[in-house]
Amino acid sequence: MRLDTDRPAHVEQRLTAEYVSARALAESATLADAAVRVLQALCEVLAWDYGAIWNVDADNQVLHCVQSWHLPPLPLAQFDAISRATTFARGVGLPGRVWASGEPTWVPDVVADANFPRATVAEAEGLHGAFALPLLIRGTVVGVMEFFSREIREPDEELLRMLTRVGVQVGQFMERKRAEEELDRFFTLSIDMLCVAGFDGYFKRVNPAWRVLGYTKEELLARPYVDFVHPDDRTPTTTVADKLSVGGQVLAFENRYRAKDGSYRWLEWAAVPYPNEQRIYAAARDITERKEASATIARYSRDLVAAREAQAENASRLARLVSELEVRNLLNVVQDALQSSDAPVAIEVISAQPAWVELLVPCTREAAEQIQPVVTRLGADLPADVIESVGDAFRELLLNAIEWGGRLDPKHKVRIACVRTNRVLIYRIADPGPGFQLSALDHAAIAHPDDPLEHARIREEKGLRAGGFGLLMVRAKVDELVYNEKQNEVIFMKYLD
Amino acid sequence: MEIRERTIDDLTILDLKGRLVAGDGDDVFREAIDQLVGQDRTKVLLNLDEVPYIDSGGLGVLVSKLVTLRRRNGQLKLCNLRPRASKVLEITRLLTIFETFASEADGIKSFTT
Repeated sequence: MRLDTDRPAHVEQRLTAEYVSARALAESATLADAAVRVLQALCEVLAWDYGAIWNVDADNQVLHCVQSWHLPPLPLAQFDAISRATTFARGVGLPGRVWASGEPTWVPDVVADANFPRATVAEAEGLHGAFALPLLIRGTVVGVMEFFSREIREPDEELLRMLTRVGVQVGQFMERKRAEEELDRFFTLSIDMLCVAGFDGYFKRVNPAWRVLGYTKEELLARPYVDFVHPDDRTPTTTVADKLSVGGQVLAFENRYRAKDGSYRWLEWAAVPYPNEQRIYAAARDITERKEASATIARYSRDLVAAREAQAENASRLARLVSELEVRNLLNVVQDALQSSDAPVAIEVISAQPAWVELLVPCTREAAEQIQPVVTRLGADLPADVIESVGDAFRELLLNAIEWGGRLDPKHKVRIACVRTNRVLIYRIADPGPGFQLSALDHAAIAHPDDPLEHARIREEKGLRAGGFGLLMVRAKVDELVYNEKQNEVIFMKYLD
Repeated sequence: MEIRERTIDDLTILDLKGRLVAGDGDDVFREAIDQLVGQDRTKVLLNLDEVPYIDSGGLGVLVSKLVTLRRRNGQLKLCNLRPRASKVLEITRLLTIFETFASEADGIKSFTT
C-alpha cells in the first residue's frame, strides 16, 4: 500500500491501523484467529500495549474476555489473568460501560477511574490509559474491544471515530464468521451426507458423514463422483446431474454408492444447483437399511401371499380329495351293498356322487333284493324309522316297476336315482313299461278304501299273485308321491327335518 | 322262511321265522296253509314273533289264506306281531280284518271261548 507522505504521521498511523485490521479480518479463517490478529495489528500500529476482546454472553447477561494480546516481553500476566477470569455486568467496568452505552469510551488513567474494578492490578503492572469500543451487529453490542497503554493518554476523537469503523468491521466479520461456523458445525455434525460438487463432476467438499463409505475426504475429492456410483445407476445419475446443471432441482433421487469395502449403500438425494458458482449443493441420506427393510417386507409379503396361495391350494386339493374320497366311499358303499348278495346281478352304477346316485337295475326280483341294502347304506346316518319307511316304500315301488313295468324280464332295466339334500331324500324310479291308469287299479287295495278284502277277490279272479297293498303302504310311509303323466316313473320324497 | 307247526287239539299254531315277502316266504306259507286246509285243520294261529318284515306280497298271501280258511269255516288269527309288522297291518287297514293278540296264550284262549 502506498501511503500519502503529505499527511501527518498520526493520520497515516490510523489509516494503516484501519487497513491492517481489515486485512487481518479478510485473511482469518476463524473468529478466534481474526480476534488475535486484529488486536495485534491495532496494538502494534497504534502503539498500545494490551488489547482484549470481550463477548456478550446473552444467556447470562455478562461479558467474558475471549481473546487478548500484548507484547510478549511486557509483564502483564496478572492483568491478563484477572481479565480472563472476570465477568462484567452491563455498566460495570470499562467493557460494561461500553456495552451499556453502545459508544466508544476513553479513560485517560484507569487507576484513577472510579468504575474500573481491575484498577489495582492495572496499577501494579503499570497500565494507565485505556479506550474501548463496541463491536456492533446491526446496532446491537455483541462484544467490546479494549486497549490499554502504559501511558496516560488523553482522548483522541479522530482515533475513536476510526476505531468505531473498525468495531463495525469486526462486528460484521463476527456475524459472518458466526454464521459460517454455525453452518460448519451443522455441516460437520450432520448425520446426513452433505456435499458440494462442481459442475465438472468432482466433489469439492464433503462432510464427515461420508465416512460411512470408508473413504477419506481426499479420496472422495480426487475422483469424479460418478466413479463411486453403481454401474447400473450411472446413467440415471448423470441424467440427474445434467438436469441440475441447467438449474433444475432434485428431490428423492436414489442411487447406490460403492463403499471402500466393495459393498454398496443406497443413498437418497436432495440437490440444488447454483449455476453462477458452477456448484451443486446436495444432501444424501443412507437408506440402505430402509431399502433392505422394504425388501425384507416385500419378501415377507411375497412369502405371505405364496403361503396363502399354498394354503388355498391345499384347501382346494383337500376339498377335491375329500370329494373324491366321498365319491369313492359312496361308490364303495354302493358296490359293497350290491356285492353282498350271494348271486350278484349286473347292476350298473351311473353316478355315485354324494348328492346324486343313479343305478340301472335289471328287472328281476333278485336285483330288487340286491339293491335294497344300497338304500339302507345310503341313509346310514338317518334315524332308523326314516330308513325303515324309505326302505319299505322303495321296495314296494321297485317291485311294482320290475314286475309290472319290466315284466320280470332281465333284459329290461329300471332306472333308479337318489338325490340327497339336507332337508329331503328323493328317490326316482323309472320303469320301461307303458305306464298305467290309476282308475284301472281295481286289483289294488288303494282302489277299495272301504273294503280291504275286495281287491284280493279281484286279484284271485284275474289270476294275479297275492298282494296289492304296495301303493297303500307307500302312501303312508313317504311325504310326497308323484307319478309322471304316463305313470311309468315315480318320485317319492321323505323330508328329513 | 321256516315254518314250525304245533297243534293243540284242533288248533294249529304255526311259528313263522323269516321275512314274509313276495318271492320269499309267501309260497312256503301258502303251501303250509293249503296243506292244513287239505287236512281240514282250519283253525290256525300264526306266531309272528320271528317275522321281522311283511311286504305287500306277504300281506296279500295272508289275506288270501284268510279268505281260503273262512270259506272253509276256519279262522286265521295272529299273535306276537312285531311293531313293524303291526304298523304295516294298521296302515293297510288289515287290523280290522285280522284278530291279533299280544301273546300266544291270548291267541289260544280266543279259540276256546
